[in-house]
Amino acid sequence: MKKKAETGEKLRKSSQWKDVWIRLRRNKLAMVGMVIAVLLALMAIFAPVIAPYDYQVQSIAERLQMPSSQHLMGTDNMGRDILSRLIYGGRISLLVSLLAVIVSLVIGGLLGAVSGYMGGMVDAVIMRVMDILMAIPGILMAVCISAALGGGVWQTALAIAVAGIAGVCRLVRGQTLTLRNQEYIEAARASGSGTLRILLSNIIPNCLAPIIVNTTMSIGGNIMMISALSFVGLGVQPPIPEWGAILNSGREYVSTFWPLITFPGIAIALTMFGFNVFGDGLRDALDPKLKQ
Amino acid sequence: MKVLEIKDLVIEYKTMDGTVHAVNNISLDLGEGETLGLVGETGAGKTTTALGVLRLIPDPPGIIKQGSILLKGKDVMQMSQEELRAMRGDEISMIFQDPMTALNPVLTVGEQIAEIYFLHNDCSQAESRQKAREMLEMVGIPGERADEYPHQFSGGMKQRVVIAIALACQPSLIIADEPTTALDVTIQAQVLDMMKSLKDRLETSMLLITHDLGVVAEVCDKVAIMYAGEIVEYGTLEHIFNNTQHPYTMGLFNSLPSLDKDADRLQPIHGLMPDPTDLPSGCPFHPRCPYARSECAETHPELRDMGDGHMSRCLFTSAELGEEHETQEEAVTVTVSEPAGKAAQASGVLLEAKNLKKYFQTKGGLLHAVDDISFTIDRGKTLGVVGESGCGKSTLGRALIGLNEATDGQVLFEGKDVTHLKGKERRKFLTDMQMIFQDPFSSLDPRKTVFEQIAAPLKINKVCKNKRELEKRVAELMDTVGLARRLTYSYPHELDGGRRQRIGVARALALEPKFIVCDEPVSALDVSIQAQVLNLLQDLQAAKNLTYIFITHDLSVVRHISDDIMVMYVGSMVEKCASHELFEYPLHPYTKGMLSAVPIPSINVEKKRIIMQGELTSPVNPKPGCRFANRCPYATDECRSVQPVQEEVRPNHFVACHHVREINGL
Repeated sequence: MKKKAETGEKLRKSSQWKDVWIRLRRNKLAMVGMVIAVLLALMAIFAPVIAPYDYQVQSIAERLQMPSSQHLMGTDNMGRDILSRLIYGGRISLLVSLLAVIVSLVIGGLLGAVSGYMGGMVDAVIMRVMDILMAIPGILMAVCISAALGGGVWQTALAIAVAGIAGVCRLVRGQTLTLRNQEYIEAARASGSGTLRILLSNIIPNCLAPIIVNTTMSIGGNIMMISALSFVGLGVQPPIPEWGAILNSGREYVSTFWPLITFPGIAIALTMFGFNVFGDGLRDALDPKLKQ
Repeated sequence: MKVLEIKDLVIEYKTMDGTVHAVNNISLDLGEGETLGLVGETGAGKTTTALGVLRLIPDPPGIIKQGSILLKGKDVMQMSQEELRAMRGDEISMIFQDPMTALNPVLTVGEQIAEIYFLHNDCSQAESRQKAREMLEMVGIPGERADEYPHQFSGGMKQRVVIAIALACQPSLIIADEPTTALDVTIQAQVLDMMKSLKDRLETSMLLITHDLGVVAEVCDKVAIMYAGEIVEYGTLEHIFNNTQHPYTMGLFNSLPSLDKDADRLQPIHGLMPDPTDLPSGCPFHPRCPYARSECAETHPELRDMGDGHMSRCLFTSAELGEEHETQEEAVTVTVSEPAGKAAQASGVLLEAKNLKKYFQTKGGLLHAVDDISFTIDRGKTLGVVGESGCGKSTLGRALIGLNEATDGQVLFEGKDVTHLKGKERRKFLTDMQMIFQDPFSSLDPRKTVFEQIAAPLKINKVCKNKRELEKRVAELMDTVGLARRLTYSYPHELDGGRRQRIGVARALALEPKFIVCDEPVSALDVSIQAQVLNLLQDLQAAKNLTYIFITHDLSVVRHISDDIMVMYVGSMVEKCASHELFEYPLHPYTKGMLSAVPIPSINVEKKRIIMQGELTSPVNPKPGCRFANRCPYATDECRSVQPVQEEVRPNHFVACHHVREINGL
């Protein structure tokens, strides 16, 4: 609001991030999302402590048991505790997803910033490469890379990271293009800053808000993609528990044994929901134009 | 019957930081054919009042808490949404500040005007189109341009289209929100002229919102001065300009640099507009008022009739106010540090530009932003560069310090060629030459604190040996520009425009430069704050023997601060001479026209206005000949084919015009 003329006489000692936090806290849905995300992270970190059983121990005698006080979510076709497998599976999903996000953020972000700031030939070359990447649907790209590299945690992370680079790159480039013409960039040049310093100390910090939003959203998206890859058998390989893989193993039992397909489904849906509403809320909170 | 009557209007915004009292108890009225000027600085509540009249206050967070708005006797507050929609456009229409964003870029201007007739007047499509053409002709645009799109029009032309749209339904009231602020001075003169004559012809009333007392003097019948959401003074032009009663209005007049008299220092209003969420007790102006007495802090003054309908919201009349009291000025102690002392003795030429050219390759062709400009600046002096937007004055400033590398020509700094410096050498040279930017909002990195902003140049050039020294230096700089030290860790968004611009000044001073390019440093500021910053720049110059290039479009500011003035027109220099000489003996026809176009904030000066027709020539692939020829009343064939060279017509007075001697009878 333009009316919000702060006089220096009574300055609140607040940074922009504090304002963001206040605004975020007023958004109920975003807080729900954040709680889900935080619980998920805690669950992943403390998996060995919370999980009631070892996720690998098979017991054919106890296979396909319905939920009970002993096995809260029942057991799977090998007689393993579904809850424990879901808890450990979350660990894999989050880890792979985070790895992928970080890799695509660093590569895509740098390429985008350089591309937007330098312009000209550099920009043209980088953007054409990104166009090629964008032309292939993300999931297809991930499938191809996984197929080429084989399954496994690291391979999956790499596959998903590559699929995400183009998006981040375009986002950061767009931001940089608008920032580049701001007078404070020129002021930095007038003070003798070189290109690298401007990129690192002026451009990238000012791109942070959209990057954070994008990151939150893509963690959710990546979890979905990992599950999808595992579901078709290309992602994380058994016996490592992964939500998509668990879901896959339940395919034969769709009509006969519902827990094996329902609980991982709910886990995936809930996680996606959590990260998405949290990302939405963050975007609103970070947009100073919505500040009232 | 009055066209508009507002009584006791109160508008508030509910925000995170509390209730913003945007408009407090405003009453005003407007008769048929009258023009009322609503004057005030940023945040005074002018625009909120106007939006209130249209019932366009965004709700939430805004609410019209009380008051009545009568439009031709009908109560706007009681209208249904349907009636409101009919009223807007039919009875009231609005002209916005920025013509660039007020038009829809995907519709032709003809369609945009015709739409109004079609929606409000039951015209058929064909009739509406016909009427749209007539309307365009009326605002001085040939009817056949109705089929063109907004981007094909220049800024002034777009504003004419916006005015045509506003007038289309012959509304009884026009609300114009800073209609000419975004326009250049010669174009502003054209538009104001047109608005005046149209208003007389159509007998429309107008509520003109502006911060420019010069514009008010030109077009208004009555004036309301607003401060902190209240009307502090209200009366006819005569009342306000010749019998000023309220100390705030006096302060506004004193803050303005004048075109026709030399004053060493401006008298700014100290301090800032109060926080609208937390208004001071008593008179909201008392903390800044030089006449404030103890009762001012206790009693909230009512609007009082000072005779003849002249209202003032002050406990005293101007006669009773008596002597000015000292007000606490934010301490501006200019500390002269050692290097400046040495520089103070030196004089002579500091900077010289030789045939400087800067061209840009655009899609349309070669843009001649700066074309063959030569000048020198002496140490400790200020060269003002004036011209309309797009004349290349900013590019010139950037070319001088190498932000845009010159295409051709030379820049000599202390006799050394600095035109094409690179890397380390350039960085070394930049410690002597700095820049203050126009927009105090976009020239500061929003993610950095005041400390980081000012420390950045020091860190980059590794001036300070350790953190302690850096902190000390930043604190010194903050003192120098009058920034309180408690603001060290504030972020720019927490500060007002004046304080932000002080950060910009401190940043430019950090490396103890000898030369500073000031690119419109006060254009984005309110007049009272503008005066504070101008005084600061002058004090610093005196203390540190700084040399300035002061780029601006504001002629009164440039006269106030400059020793010499250079007038630019579409990339080329048309006139250069000492400041007072330019205002007394302008020789170039463009300078004459521009000077006469400036609205003067006084109603006692007889103005001879030379309205310059037409628009600026495009700087892209310019034709040979004088760039001003297409607007010049004296242009001959020679002017259209041969580019004039600058010659010394009077001592130290350079003009580039073929006919300067015959025109001026020299």
